[in-house]
Amino acid sequence: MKKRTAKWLTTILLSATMILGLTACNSKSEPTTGETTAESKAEYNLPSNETEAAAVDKANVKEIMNIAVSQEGANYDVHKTTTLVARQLFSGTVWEKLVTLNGNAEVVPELCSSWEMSEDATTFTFNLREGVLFHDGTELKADDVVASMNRWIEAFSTAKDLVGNGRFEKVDDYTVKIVCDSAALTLVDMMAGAAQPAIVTTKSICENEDENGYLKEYIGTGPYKFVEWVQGQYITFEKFDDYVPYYLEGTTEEIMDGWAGYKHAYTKQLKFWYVPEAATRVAGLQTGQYDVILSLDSENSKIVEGSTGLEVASEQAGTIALVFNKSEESIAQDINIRHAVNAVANSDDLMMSAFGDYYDLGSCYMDESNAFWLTDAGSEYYNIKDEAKAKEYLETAGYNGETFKILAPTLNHYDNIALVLKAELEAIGMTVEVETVDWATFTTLREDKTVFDLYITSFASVPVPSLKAYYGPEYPGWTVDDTMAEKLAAFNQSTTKEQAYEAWVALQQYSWEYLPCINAGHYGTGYGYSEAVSGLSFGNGVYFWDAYIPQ
Amino acid sequence: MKKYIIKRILAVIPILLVVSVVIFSLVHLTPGDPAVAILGSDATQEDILALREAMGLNDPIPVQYVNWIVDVFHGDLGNSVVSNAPVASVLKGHFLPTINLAAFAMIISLFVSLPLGMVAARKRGKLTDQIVSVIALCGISVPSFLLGLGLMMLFSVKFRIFPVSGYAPWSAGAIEHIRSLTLPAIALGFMYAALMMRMTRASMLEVLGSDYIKMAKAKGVKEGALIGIHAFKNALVSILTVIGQSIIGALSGAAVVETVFGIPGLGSLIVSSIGRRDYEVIQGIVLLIAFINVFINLITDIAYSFVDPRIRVQ
Repeated sequence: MKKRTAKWLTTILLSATMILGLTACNSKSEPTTGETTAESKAEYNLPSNETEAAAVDKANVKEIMNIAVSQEGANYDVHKTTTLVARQLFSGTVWEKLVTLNGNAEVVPELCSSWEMSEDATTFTFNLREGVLFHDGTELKADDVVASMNRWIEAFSTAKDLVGNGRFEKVDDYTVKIVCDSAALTLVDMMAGAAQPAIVTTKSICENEDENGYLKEYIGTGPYKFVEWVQGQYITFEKFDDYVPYYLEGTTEEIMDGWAGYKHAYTKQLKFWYVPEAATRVAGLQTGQYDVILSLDSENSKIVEGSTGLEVASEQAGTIALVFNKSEESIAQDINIRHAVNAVANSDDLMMSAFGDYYDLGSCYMDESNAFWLTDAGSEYYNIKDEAKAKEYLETAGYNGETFKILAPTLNHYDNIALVLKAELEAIGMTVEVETVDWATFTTLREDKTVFDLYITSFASVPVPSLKAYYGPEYPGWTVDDTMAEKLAAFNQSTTKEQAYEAWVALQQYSWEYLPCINAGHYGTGYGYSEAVSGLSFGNGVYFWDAYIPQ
Repeated sequence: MKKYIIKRILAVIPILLVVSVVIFSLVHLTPGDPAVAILGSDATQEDILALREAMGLNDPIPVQYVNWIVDVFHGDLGNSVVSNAPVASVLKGHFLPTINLAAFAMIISLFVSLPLGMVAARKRGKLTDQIVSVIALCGISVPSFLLGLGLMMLFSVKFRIFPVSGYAPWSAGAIEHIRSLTLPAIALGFMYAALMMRMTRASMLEVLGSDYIKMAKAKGVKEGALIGIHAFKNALVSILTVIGQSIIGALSGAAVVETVFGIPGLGSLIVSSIGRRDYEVIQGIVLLIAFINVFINLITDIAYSFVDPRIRVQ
């Protein structure tokens, strides 16, 4: 009997040793981290983008830089996709635009040397830089720009609505213009920073689409040329030796500012590896298999920060929106129900549940990266956390225990936000149901007016407020309101930036009163990289046109 | 035998037809579609609706099915609705990593499970048997992604022996190829090794208790020959079934391990295709897996007759 007991003890000890061994393997590489605080303001760390060109010894730079990304694009025809990975990898690196954004989110020339806007903001004329070469060796001419820009307008309904029947036309080989139906002040902002970038490729490439209407080849004017995409594995870019760099307006220094400026392409080859698993990306950075990793969340950033020789950069990436169903099928059509939800919603708790430390609070619908549009209009309605007030709103609405349905995708822990909101709403006596589904299912379900009263989604940083989709009557949530439409039209018809800003302040103030959605807060994202890497460009993403690793 | 094999191969056609109807219906009735995957989350509703129309996603489902199945009978699995690449070439590109990974995992499993299973049976009730039982229990209980991450932390991050992720094809060199697959193969193969270990032990125990083994022992047949030849050969029939099922499992169920280790195989392809609702690719993979399933079952059945001539395949 004793012998048998001893055997069982041995067995149990052996099992325990194996399990502990595995656990130790995991925990050993994790650094001790500080406690999570309830502080709502994220402390982002975004290094300066300026590169001292003279300090770089080009002969002693590592030839290949390995970058791990979490997503793989369905395709990289950025005229026709808004996916972040497509924009982040290709825009500015392989492709360039007529205009782009500097570090202050101001529109500055890229492939044009200058542009003019008519006083009524209907006519835009762009003077192209001469001698710019495409990766196929041909020179950038007006025909290429006209074909590319008109293809972008056709693919991007927001731009199409803005310009009406106007399309780009060739004036001469190095000048193009567009005459819009009405004022289109924000057109250049969209061209510079929309999620569907207005990149320029050759006329023949624009005409050589596949049967689904997507580009067959990726030819641009950027400092890197596209070499290969092995689906499920990697994308390779190689330095374009004939790249024609440009200086920031009014300078002759080889520096970058935001997405604009002099790009050096120090590294010969950029290799973007598709690594969907976050822990694998972190482990790859720790072992040196990857030099830079993207999509680093708050939790994993602490592991990276605690590892020797690794750095973390982070920035605000967009806003979280709790979008109401304003159709007749929903109880949220009643503005008092919307205000009840808004009154009780604790933005700190909602944001922390999904983003850990990578969030900050703020009532502005626009993000920090677009400083021009920041305003506190309507802030008196933001994050008030007033249960008594919420109950008053419910009473005014005549709420009688009807089920309030929340729809959330499992993407990026948005389901956590739904669960926290459910608890907060139940605390004021509401009956709440939460449905969490994968992203693809979510995008279909949210089109059904009977499925939800509120859904949770995010919006990446946009250069102009009119790109916020929830103002549209067709966008799920269905904002059909005359005052909202008038205020949006006033914004779109502005002929000066100052006028547009005033219109935006009025629009945001009304948004907080009408509540097409609740702007819960601004979420952040992180990037991990080896301290050996220099010259990374940050700002709405991380870019590699000046990145290098000294050997 | 030839007749039997031809008959079994022809039987694949109705099976695949049924599978095609089921998978087509499931995929198309599930909410979500590829238009959003292509356009991205910030796309306007107007652009999404226009793309749906352009891609023919608004056609009635039976019409879409007939169009697809007619093409399949002509040897055309269609094009990925997302990337527009031919499904056949997409599958080809992802099939080889999965085959290599599954083969490697099976080799590891067999080399570990068969000897340990035989030893455990021979040492029934003793410490060795207990240790093997614990290993088998761990193999069945520990999820493959957890084991994979543990192996990665130990052998990639701490000792830097193997790469963290990625796949090196044979063309990159045999050593690189094996290095890239070692950890995922162990993570994948451990569970199947555990199953085979238990099956080997159980079958061997059954055979070792039979009269002819006692007779052989009495006649003075040596221990090695007794276990390795007389007992194992007779235990092999039930083990073969588990091996066949394990191969099918490794080929079709490697999604998690492939995702963790960044192996561009069929598993990671089906995960990303489901996320994007890439209908044609999902259908292609499921048809391929169904075919592999039938094929491996056929091979297993044929193998039975070689191991035990008493089993008539007809």
